[in-house]
Amino acid sequence: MSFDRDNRDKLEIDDLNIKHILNNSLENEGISVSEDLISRTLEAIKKQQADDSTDKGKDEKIKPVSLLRKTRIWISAAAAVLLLLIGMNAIRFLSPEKKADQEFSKSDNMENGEENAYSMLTEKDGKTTEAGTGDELMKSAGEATAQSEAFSEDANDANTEEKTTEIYADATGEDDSDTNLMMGISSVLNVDEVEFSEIAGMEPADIKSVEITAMNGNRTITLTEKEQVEKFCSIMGNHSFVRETEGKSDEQFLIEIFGKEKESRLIIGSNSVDVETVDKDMVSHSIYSAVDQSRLMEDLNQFLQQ
Amino acid sequence: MQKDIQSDGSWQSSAHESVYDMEALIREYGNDVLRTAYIYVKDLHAAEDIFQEVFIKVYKNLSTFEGNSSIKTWIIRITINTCKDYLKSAYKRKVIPMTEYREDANLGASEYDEVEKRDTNHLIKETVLSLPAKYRDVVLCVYFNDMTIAEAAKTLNIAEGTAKSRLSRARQKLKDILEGRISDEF
Repeated sequence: MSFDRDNRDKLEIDDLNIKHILNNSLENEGISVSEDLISRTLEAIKKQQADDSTDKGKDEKIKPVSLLRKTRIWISAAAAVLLLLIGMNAIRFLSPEKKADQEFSKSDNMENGEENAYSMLTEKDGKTTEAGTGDELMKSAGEATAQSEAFSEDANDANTEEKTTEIYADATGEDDSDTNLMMGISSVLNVDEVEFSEIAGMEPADIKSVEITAMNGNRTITLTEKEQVEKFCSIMGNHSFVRETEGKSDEQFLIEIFGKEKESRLIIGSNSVDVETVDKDMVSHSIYSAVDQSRLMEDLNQFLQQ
Repeated sequence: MQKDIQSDGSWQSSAHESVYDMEALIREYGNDVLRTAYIYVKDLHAAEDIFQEVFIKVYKNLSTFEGNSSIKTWIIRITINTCKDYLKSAYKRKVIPMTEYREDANLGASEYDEVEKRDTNHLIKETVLSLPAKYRDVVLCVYFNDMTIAEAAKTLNIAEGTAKSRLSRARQKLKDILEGRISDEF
């Protein structure tokens, strides 16, 4: 046997022909492959082959189960994700922060509506819209929130602003718009508007007497009888007022209202109503404008003439 | 996948594999497998069990044989690994393989040379097998199973340089032991 290999050096031990010696020695010991061993090995291989076929069959049978299990796992995972999303949304929906956001959103909508209404009303009267300061706007929004919870629901509706705009576009389109339309506007914009009793700070039943002075004609009337007072309140009750941030205009009418404990003084000009209320030692001052200021003055003129 | 043994010992893939091709492999390399196993485990029955296990492994993994080495080297590598696994499990079971000893019968004078030659072979075999395992393994790979140093290193999972140095030391040990104890014909 040759050991002349690339990586092998020739040494004396190579001459021993170890392979030959070992083979002879082992053969003498009977260490050789017999036909019996070959046939037994081939039988074992055949058996292995049969086992492999059976295993393959089993694998094919098992396969649908495996698929079913995978499907179950996927469905479970999808259900878990769905539950997680629902849970997260529920938490977000029920959390106080979300509620606060919703409230803020409501008041924000109302504030927008208020601003729009105010802006449109002043445009209708041919007046210049003046933006208030930030504090005043906040105050106005706060009042709007306090005034009507019912309106809050309406104001929450995203269509409110559009509806307002549409209605008011019609109103501003015609200068001689009728009262019904104004009432319609009033019903939509009631969050911005206050009644006469509110600006006067007294209910008609609490009013003892009213003194009305037309500044241009220096004509003054005093209403002391209940019927006269009620009639005056009825006329004034037909008007709605909007809180103004500022405004001091010409004095057309001075109305002094005397109640049981309060006194109110209204100075009505061509574009504002200046109200001063005295309640015992407390004096408060507010500025309003009538939704239809010119009609208010017409009504007062007519009332004075009567 | 069927693979046929080529004249150079390489293994040719063909359309299908069968037990009959395994028979060709067993007849070609069976003795190498059995004797390598016997050298390792020193027990004929255990060697025969290993023999069967090796060819079942060959049958099952024949499709993964890439042909980077000769088929014989691949089979011997499986044999050595199977023997090591057997020895590990035998060690765990505390089963010590018994070497069979056979007493020589009384011999005639004509048979003396034959007996002497057999004894010399036995001496060389025992000397080789008595080498420390790391030297014995590399000697068996290179001298008994006709592997190159690189193939032996790959089979034994050692570096090629390590295989080379171990072979060199093994040769020196064999020379030291056998020098003066064997006749000139070797």
